[in-house]
Amino acid sequence: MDLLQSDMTDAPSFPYATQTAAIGGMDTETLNGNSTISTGPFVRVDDPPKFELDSYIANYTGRTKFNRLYLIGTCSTYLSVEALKAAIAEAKSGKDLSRYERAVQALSEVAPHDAEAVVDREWAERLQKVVKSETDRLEHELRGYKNNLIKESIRMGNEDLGQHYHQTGDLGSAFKAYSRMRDFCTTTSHIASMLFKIITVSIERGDWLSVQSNVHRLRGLQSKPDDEHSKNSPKIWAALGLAQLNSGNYLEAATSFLATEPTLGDSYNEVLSSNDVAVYGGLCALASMDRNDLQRRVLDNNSFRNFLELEPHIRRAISFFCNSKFRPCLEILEAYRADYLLDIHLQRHVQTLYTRIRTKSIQQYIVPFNRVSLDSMANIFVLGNSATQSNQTDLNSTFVQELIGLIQDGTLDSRIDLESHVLVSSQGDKRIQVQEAALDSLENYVNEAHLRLIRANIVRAGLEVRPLADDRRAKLEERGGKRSAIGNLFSRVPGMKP
Amino acid sequence: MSDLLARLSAVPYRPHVVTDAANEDYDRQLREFVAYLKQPGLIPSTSDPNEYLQALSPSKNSLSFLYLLRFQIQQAQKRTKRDLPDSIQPGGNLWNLAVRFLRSFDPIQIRYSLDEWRQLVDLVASAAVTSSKAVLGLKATRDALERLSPSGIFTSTHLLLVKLALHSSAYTYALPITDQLLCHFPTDTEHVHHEYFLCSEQAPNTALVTDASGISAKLSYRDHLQYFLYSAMIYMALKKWTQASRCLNVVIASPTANAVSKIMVEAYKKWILANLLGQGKIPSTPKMISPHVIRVYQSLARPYISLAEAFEKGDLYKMSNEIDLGQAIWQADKNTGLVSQLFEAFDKFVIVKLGRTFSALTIADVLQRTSSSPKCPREIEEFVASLVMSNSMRASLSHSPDDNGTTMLRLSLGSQTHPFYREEHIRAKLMRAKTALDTIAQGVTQTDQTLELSQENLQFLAKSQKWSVSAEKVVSSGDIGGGDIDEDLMGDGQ
Repeated sequence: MDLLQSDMTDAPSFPYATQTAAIGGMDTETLNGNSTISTGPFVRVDDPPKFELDSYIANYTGRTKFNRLYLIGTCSTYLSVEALKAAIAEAKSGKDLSRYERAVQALSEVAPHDAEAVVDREWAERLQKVVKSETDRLEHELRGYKNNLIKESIRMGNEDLGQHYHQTGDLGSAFKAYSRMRDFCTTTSHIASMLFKIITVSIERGDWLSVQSNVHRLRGLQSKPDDEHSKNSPKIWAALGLAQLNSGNYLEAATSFLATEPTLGDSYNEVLSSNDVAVYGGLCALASMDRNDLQRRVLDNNSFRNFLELEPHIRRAISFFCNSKFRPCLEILEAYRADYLLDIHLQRHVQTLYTRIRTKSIQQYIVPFNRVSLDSMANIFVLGNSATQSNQTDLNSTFVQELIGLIQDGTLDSRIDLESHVLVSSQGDKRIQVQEAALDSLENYVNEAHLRLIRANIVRAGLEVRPLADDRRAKLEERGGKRSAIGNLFSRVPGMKP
Repeated sequence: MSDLLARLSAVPYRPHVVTDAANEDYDRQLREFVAYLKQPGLIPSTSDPNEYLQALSPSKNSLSFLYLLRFQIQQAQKRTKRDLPDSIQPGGNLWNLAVRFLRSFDPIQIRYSLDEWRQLVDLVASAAVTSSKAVLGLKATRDALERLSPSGIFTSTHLLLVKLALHSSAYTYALPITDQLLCHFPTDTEHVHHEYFLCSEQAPNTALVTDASGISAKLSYRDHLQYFLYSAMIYMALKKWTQASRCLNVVIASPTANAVSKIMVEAYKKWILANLLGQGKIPSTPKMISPHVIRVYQSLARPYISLAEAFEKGDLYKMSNEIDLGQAIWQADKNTGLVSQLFEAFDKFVIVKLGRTFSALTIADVLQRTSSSPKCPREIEEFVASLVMSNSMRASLSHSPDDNGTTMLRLSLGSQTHPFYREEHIRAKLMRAKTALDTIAQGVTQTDQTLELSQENLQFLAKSQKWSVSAEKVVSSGDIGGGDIDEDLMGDGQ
């Protein structure tokens, strides 16, 4: 029975090498075609971030704390030692041996001579033994409950076991143990808590499909007690938003985050904080919505305002965008790029989100213009010091190349005039375009009709291509043998006959 | 002798009033006349047929002229014991007569003796080829075919014509024929509709489009495939890529039964190249090609496909790599000439595409963005100028007033010419499309008729099918009613 179930629950954990996915909690889905997770950090951030590590990490509880510290430690050159030391301390307070070893390993790479960069063998062995005996004890207890056939006990036994696995870092087993609880849940609140546990594990594994399906189960469940509903709802929305963000559906993610009630507070700190909701929601909205929607659904949204107050710069960036002040908006985002690159969920999406926001800004900027000088555009969209701006309108400058790319992939309907250095919006002659389209379709029609007519007549004449053996017209050979075949013309002269 | 001449020149004249009765009469007379001409020993072997030939007019007495000419050619062949005696070679006496005849014969009369006419054309063509003056044969064939005007019927003479054109490299001579839309193929159908007489002008196709009329030698599928492939090659030699691709479309979309001809594969290779050269991209293949044929093409033309991919992506490095790698293949397929034109076409399409991104840029920038081969700005400027002159792109070049040698290229949208010429251009296009549509509509009507696809007939067929089905039902239900023992066992004990 046990074996059978574990086989069944094995299924959802398919594409994820659990341990590698757990490093930094990133999904192994190669979203940007980048699969460097197993070999090294995804990015290397050299700029100092704006946040203070201690106060930042204090926002979180549970396993995400270590994951975030470890990510910062491996990605940021500025904070690596500090973050890794904190990570080691965090790992030592827990029961997960592998993460302790990983953290020590990482620290020994950045600071080989540090006293903490050596594995504490004695502690590790002790921990191993403790974990082993605990596992045995829990499994034994569970077996006992199963023999007694008391549903509630079995559920709790599985829950304890899952929790234990989760704490020791065996996410696959934890997922299975939690999933096994399903059959023994008797009340909706039990189911809800089980699903939340599964979601938490799935988020850590980066199994976003499972997160989404379980979130939908959870939403289908919401029915009776109002207080519990209001308690769970923000968490559900936040988890859904997270899954959508990670699968690249930014508009849906923005909608989910915007629907998250401010009552979330710090109740979901084992996954994300309210600040995160503000940042994720704000950036996704900025990247996927137009100005009207931003104004209406984000800035005028009373419940989301509470989140935005936590991250005022996001609010400022959005309102700058809505007021067509693109440079300050982009500057704010650029200033916080280091922060977001060190965020466990945002890291892989920062570049895409920023590019989208930038493209949208450029599109918005040129809307009112018939001709706009490249200089004035460079003033707004080329960030950085103004000394390098003198040659920003050359063909080879990165800004012009960016524009060319946007024109070529059809995002901008304009053309560049390198003589007077302006961007000219295309005003094709609609009349001519329509005429040309009509002529084209006429020609296509004629060609196709002709082709079909020829085909019909070829078939009728029995001239379709067929294997030599069954030439339908072979029977004519006897009848029309006297006629000379055209193919022989160049080899011999057709015979004459009276 | 004068008796004979009188008989020979007494060709029934065409009735001026076109009525069925008159046509019938004329038809009968012509048939009788052909029968008379065909009888052996008509011309005494002692007399000199030349005199008759001089006395007859090839346009009025076409039938007599044709038979006499053939008789004389035969005599010459017998005398010299050669298939092609000197007198039939270009410049010879018989050659001159034959060419005169082919230019001026009466197409209506000749319809009654197409077999002889065709053999004469074949003979003239092969005489021209053997004396390596294929272009003369080409002209004679072209004239003969134009004069007969077999409106849209494919014949072996068409194939002969394009072969001669390729043989003599005189491509433009063949264009009047290859430009015509072909719709019909001679069939060996048994039930010819005899509503029209061969001599009537209204609807000659249905009567002519049979094997029995002798308009064409026996055809095989290779012949029409070859004809369209060769036509396409003629167009390609003249750099008329659109027409070439149209012809190749016919070949690659040719109906098949469990087999793909090698000609079609060759055509597919050329189709890729012609489209790259003409449009800079590969359009989708015609929808009626069945998937297994496409798979055959794709597996056999793989080097071409990867070449086309590199071309379409604008990846010059990869393209020249592919071209170098496939040298042996292009050589073997005799496509080296086409492939070598790809570089220029590549530059052309890159520059034309610049018009979508830039409205003005210097020649130096153009050079930097094309970078196909190390060219100096002067060369690229000349290239751009030639593109502008040939109407491939709409742009203007202007030299800067100060003498630093920069040239500004101003590009305007669209590839069309001046608006004043536009109207003319559109008008011409519409006229062409109208003629094509007329031809096709006529072809469709005729095909419908011969395939018996009229509305009434279909309704009748549907009705009769219903009858037969209901008849079957009656029979089968009777069977069940008879009580099949197996049926009972399997059923649920009804």
